[in-house]
Amino acid sequence: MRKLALLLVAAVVLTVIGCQPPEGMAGVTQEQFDELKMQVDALTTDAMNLQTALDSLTMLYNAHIEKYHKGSATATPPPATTKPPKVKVK
Amino acid sequence: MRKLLALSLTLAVLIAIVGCGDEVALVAPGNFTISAGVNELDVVLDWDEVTEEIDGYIIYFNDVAADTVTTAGYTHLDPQVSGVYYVTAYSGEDESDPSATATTVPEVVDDITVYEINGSGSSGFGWDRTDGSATAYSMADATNAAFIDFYFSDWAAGFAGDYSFISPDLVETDPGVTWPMSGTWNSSAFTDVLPEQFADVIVVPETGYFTSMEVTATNATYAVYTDDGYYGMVEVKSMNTGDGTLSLRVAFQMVPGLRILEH
Repeated sequence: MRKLALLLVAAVVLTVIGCQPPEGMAGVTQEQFDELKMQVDALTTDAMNLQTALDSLTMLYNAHIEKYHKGSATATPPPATTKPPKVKVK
Repeated sequence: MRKLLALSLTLAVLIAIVGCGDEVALVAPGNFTISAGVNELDVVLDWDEVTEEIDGYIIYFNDVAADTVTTAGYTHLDPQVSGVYYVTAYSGEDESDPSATATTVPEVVDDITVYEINGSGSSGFGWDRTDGSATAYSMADATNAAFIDFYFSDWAAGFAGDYSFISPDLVETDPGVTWPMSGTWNSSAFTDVLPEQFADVIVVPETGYFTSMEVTATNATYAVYTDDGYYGMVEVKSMNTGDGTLSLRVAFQMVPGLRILEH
């Protein structure tokens, strides 16, 4: 009877130990995950807004150069990565 | 005595016949060549001076005597038309045989098909410098590099995207190329769509050439400039994004540096 009780205790102890997360890999709570996701979303939105603002600024700058500094070089937007580099040869 | 008389008579007749024969014919001018003038529109003719006493040379253009000069060399100023040249030497009423001929008539090749670089056929295109013939070459074989003047690609994997004519030396950076690629590639440049139709082009532009050019429409003609100084033009007759093919009509000016593409 005593042996049986000892075995039962041992089984419980082993189960508890087996359920612990590995050292240094403590789980992230759902709340923490949601918060992180929100931060990433916010950053993505910020980047998109920044790109829009940059495009608008480039357009305004080119319009200004065209209007008040005819003949000067205008800023060209960076080439799209899907097109081959197009260089004027002559 | 009678024998001597007959002999003298025969000799006299013989001398008379030889004396009345044609004069020795003038020698045709040798080493006849043509080249482009510095403005790329004039045609410069050159040949060796003949050593005989002559009055000058007659310049023929498309079998019509166009001009005369007294010394070797002539420039056909901005003819705006292609044609065949030769010269003769003349002295009084006598005229030599023609020199060798030289032509500025572009070589036109119709219905040549090239594939997008990810298509199932040859994507490279090249002109033969000696006869103007056109050939489609595989871009996967770097030993073809010396013969290829341009290729076409959508600058991406697959062949259904937006097509461009592209200078061969850019192929090693083409995102659509997934196989090992290295070679000594030529470079070339293209204009935007010319305002004229293929058959109406007289001369191609002097400037406005880019290392790649979007192929936006059919029945559109583009001028091409190669890195060894030749001009040609390409008409896109049809475009099939289903199998990634272009059907082309092309013309090539075999005189380097001459922009006359009238044909």
